[in-house]
Amino acid sequence: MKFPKGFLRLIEVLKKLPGIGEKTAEKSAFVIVKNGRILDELITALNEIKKLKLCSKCNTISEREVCEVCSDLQREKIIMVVESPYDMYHIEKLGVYNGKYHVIGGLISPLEGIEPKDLFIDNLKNRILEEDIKEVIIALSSSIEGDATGYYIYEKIKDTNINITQIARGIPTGYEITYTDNITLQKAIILRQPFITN
Amino acid sequence: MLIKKLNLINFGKFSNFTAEFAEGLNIIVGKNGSGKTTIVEALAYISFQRSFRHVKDEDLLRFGEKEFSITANISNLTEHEIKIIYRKENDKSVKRVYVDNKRQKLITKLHKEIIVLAFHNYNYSIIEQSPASRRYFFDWFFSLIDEEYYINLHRYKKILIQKNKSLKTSKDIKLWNSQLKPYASYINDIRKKYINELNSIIPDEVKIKYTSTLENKTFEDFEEIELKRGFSIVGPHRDMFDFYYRGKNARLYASDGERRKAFFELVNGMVKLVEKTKNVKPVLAFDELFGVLDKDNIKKFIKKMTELDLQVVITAHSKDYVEEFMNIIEIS
Ligand SMILES: [Zn+2]
Repeated sequence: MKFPKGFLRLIEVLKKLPGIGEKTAEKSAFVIVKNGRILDELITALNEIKKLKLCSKCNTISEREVCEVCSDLQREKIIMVVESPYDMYHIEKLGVYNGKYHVIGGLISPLEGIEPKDLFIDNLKNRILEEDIKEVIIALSSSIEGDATGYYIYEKIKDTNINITQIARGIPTGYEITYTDNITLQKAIILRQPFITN
Repeated sequence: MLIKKLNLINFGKFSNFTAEFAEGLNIIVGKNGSGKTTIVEALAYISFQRSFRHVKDEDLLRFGEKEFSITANISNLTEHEIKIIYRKENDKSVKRVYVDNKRQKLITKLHKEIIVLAFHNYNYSIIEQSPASRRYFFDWFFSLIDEEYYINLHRYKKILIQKNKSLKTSKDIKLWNSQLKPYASYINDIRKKYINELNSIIPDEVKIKYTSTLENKTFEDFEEIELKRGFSIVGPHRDMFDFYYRGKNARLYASDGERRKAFFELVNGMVKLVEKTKNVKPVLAFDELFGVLDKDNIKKFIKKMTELDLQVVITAHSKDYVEEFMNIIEIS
């Protein structure tokens, strides 16, 4: 017996998504065929998504050519470099930052086949010049890949002579000092900051 | 420090096993395959929270089981119960450490309390083994007494994997070398420090020589050749540890007896270094040691261990020397 072509194609497409292997793709494809309501919902959602694009400046997900944040003239001339639109969303939600963003869309990782050219790093320098940016804040995760990507970006933009900073890496809230590993503790001490009185 | 009681559930070949240990010399007697090595493995696991023989956690599970636990009652200044639970769930695995029923946030925290220096068959011939096995051995020991060393080494290895991959694909060698550099120099410094300390403790006829592949050189010096070869050739993961006996490389020129002597001097040095850096007396565990020693040397070894005034656990497959021991544990 042979499976219909369309069914096999669906499996192949699903497998292209991150975290979806052969087994999950097969299972999901079968559920989609079996359950007509899920199929309809998928079609509607996918049609809507077709209208979405990446902001031509910061690369976040946007309904327009230039996203809300990039169109906001009140924003300070600072760019925060983040990994994903989700990170941008989280920081935005905090309400403590009123600058712009630059979503690079991943972290350099040869193991996962992600090279600098796969990320939105190249147009960052142009933005710094064109938008008269005063400071770039690197806000990437404190992993091996995050550190390497931060370093790569720093090397790329350091000749613009603007202020390049990174978010402080300290002790997570709720953590006792005794339980914090020494490297984190060292970084927290070196990157100490003026005492904040609320 | 003293391990008083050990309970193993679904660990190695045991479904539920309990042993009590005495101060001084303990001997575990059992046939081959009875689980002697598993007990030494468990003793080492309490202090390292991973296998000292580089066995994967899931391979330590009793066949068909999903969870093992190791519980030890120890006595340092006060009494404590340490429990380590490992559970395998589909693709994930969880390891939890409890001290007196309180969950520990960081596994390495335990290092401050207990040090078990455990040795297996392969270690007895460490002097003539491959450079990599000597490196493993010292990395294990330094990690055991220095949690920061372990963290740095771990991170170094993770970056190295990325670098090696990149040497085959994107060739971003400068980027990854820049990331390796601080960890490599930290590892070099600490290795030098501890090897110096060991050398100052052990008698002059035995010397350990540490050779860093980055001595007077930098990663940059090798970038071209590494790009050509497609894998990394310098860094702490290529460094050498060699033993010298009376000025000569012991791997090449020492007799079996001299190497054995050098090994026990090393063990003695390790004990003293633990006492000095951790301010705690380690527990020693030797798996199947009598197989590599003759009668005379067994007697000498037992005498020496008695003098050290430590808790020592030895496994053996015959009862030949049991009268010398304080506590005999027989397993079948
Ligand atoms: Zn935008």
